[in-house]
Amino acid sequence: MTDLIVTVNLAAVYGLIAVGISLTWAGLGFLNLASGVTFAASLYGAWWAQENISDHPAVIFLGGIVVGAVAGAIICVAVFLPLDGKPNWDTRSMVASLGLSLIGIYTFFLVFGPQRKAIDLLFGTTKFKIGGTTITADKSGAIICATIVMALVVIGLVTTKTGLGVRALTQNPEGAALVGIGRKQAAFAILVVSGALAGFSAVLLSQIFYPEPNIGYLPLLKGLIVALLGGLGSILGTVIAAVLVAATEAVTVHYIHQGWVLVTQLALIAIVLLVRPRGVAGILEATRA
Amino acid sequence: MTVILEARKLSAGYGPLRVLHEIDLAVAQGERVGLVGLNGHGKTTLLRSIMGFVDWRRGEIELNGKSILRTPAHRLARAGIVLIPQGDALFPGLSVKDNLDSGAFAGNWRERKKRRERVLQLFPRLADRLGQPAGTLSGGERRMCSLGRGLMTDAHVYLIDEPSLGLAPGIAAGLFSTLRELEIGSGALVLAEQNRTLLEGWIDRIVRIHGGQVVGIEAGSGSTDGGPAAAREQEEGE
Amino acid sequence: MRKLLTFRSAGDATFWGGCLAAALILNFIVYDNAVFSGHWVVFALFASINLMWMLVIGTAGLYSFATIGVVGSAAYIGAWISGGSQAGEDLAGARSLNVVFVLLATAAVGALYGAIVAAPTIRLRGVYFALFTIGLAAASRALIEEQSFLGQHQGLSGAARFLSQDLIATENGRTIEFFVGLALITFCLIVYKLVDAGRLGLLLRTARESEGVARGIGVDVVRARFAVFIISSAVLGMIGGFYTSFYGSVSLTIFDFNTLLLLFAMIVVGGLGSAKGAIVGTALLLYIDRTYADIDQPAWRYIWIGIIMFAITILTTRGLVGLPSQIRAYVQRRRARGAAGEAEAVPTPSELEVPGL
Repeated sequence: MTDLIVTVNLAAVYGLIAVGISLTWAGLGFLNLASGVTFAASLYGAWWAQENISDHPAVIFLGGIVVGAVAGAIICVAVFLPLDGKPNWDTRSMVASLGLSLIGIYTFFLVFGPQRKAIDLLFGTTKFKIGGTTITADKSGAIICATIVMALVVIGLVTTKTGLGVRALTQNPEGAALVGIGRKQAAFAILVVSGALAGFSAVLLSQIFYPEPNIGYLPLLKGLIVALLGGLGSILGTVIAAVLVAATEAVTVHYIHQGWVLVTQLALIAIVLLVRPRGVAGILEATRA
Repeated sequence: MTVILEARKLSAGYGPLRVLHEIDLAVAQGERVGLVGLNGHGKTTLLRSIMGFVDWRRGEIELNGKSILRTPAHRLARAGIVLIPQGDALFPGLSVKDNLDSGAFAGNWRERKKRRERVLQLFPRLADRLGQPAGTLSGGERRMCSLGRGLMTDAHVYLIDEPSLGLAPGIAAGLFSTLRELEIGSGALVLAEQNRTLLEGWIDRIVRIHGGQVVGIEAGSGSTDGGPAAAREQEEGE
Repeated sequence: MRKLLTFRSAGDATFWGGCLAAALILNFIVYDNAVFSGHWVVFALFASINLMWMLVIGTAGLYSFATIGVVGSAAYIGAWISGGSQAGEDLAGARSLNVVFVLLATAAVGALYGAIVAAPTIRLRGVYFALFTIGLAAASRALIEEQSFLGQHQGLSGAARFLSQDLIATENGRTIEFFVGLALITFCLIVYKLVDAGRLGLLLRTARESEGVARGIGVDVVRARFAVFIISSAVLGMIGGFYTSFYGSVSLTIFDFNTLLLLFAMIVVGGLGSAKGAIVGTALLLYIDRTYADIDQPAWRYIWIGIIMFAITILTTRGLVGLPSQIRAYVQRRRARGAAGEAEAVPTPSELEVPGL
């Protein structure tokens, strides 16, 4: 049962990051490797809010989300906009985002020091029982929050004008231009929202891990794996993929060894993609037809 | 006769390939122009180069007297130029409804529901498929969806690229009867079409394109400038 | 042989001539200075790795991140077969035959690894392939970590070295190591040139630009890719053998992600697709890495590397070595635009007029 809780928590975190990566990549063709530093920055933002404003959970979450959104805006202005359309821009923007990530992560190292910072338990310490297993409030709180946020993202994508613009962009960039969807404006929206999502998931993850500078890489890698497995641009595919990837992680840690997690997860991707190159989204499409 | 869209000495191409050779074309307000010519001789490139979807351009393109060479495509959409391209450029994973609504993105977003109703009256078959992903539509339905999307805003200039391409004659005819009813007011319509018969009776002027150049201009049978005889004389004079 | 010595331009000849001169000067510095000798060994290893990596990422256009996996795995095997162990019993002196055997064996290990990396390129592309290679490297690390005969967390020490016990940390020893390092770099340069400037390089570039066209004109794309992976990985494996022969030991830190990041920064900053890029990028970033490694705050090292990575990718199209031609092209375009007074510049001066497109 603990495995299940861990799985769902990880799935929530990975899924939120993966949605950001998926939309950025499908919509803009930009593989954002700076989401790692966005993650780290949001953790520090949440911690700073806790220390200097208030330790109310909403404030802490907001600290993470706002800093994440700002980081996304910085990435848009510093990396995407200057390079979009230039020769080799897809490789260059990927590498530039990596460089920005290095600068950011190690600046935090300098400013805040290598010690870990603790973020309070946000959901209180109440426990309750389901089927004989104790579930703490923090784990279930994380799941509930993540579900709400994901639902908000989906609602935003489906009902708002900007949401339609983003979805259109992920389907056909030329068609999007023809109907008046501006790439630069869409990029800003996509990167800010991805940043906010990464920020939110960072705070969720802080309930399990302490904030420290190097925490950025692994979630990024996992987010990438989930995004690819889910099928770029498909939210539903990404959510399902997040669950699969997180389950694989929990099972591997339990039955084999932590060091093999990446291997099993990539084996999972390999198997699914060999069968359906479009990932989980491809499986969904096949069953719909 | 006010000119709404003008290309002067327009050359354009992809990479080192030049496709258009110093084309001059002036489209007047309220005019319906047909571009005819064989496949691969520049009709599509001409329409695309107006939107900027080519690698390079030389010369001048003006909308209402102002140069649009530096304007990116999405702003042109907002300025009222709508290109309905070959290949439709639909959003295959989005529903027909979303595809149509996207057409209102640049313009009257708030009135999109009313607009959509109107478009669905023009293309009733789409009404049955409103919730379906556009990628599952048939060729004719896709064309209708693409046209419908283009009609969701009040465009000044409609650029339509080979709407009959790949369609069965009956469906193409049906599409064209809808196009003929299109109100362009003080705007304009430029239609590239290989099949000249579809242009009979409603196009004001026919421009013949060959080898990336304008090789003939005739009055169409929908115009008041004189009949086919006058047009032939004009042609022999080029 | 003649093809090896032909240079593409006077600029190229100057560059390599300059490198040769620098190497001769460095020899004298290394002679006296133990610290610098250590830097040189690292430079030799990194530059060689990057030259081989450049063949895969630059010439073939395949984003493999298994580089460290190959080097590390081969290094471990090399250390083990030359007598290294967890306890590190100190073998008396280097038996030169042993080292040569290590180099050959590690090359073979590398070649085998290369075949495994190449296999998925039949179907996987782009980021999918990159992720596979990351997974493969992670699997190698995990596999090695579990084997007790490979030292687990302590790694292996006491492996055979180039220098016998009495030569270590002496001036003569440092000179030997200098020339061994130089030989390694030279060897890798030769391999790079033979592949990149030769037929295999041409096939790979064609396949990189347009795979469909390449297959259509009869290029065996799969075989070409297998070839470049096996060749480059064999050399990478051998570099792993050099690693153990320099240090006499190996540990899990060889698989560090930060090292991979640093190497990647080197080839990107230098410029993808040329040997010059590998050398320049390695030299520059290693210089920064070593300069800031001395200071108390290790964070500055990565901040500076990040700044350079960021600045170079934003400002240059093809890295540092591409800068001269980039500037030339820019000046040319400004002049052409000024003369013709056009709104948009035409990309090439000559235009092929092809009707029917």
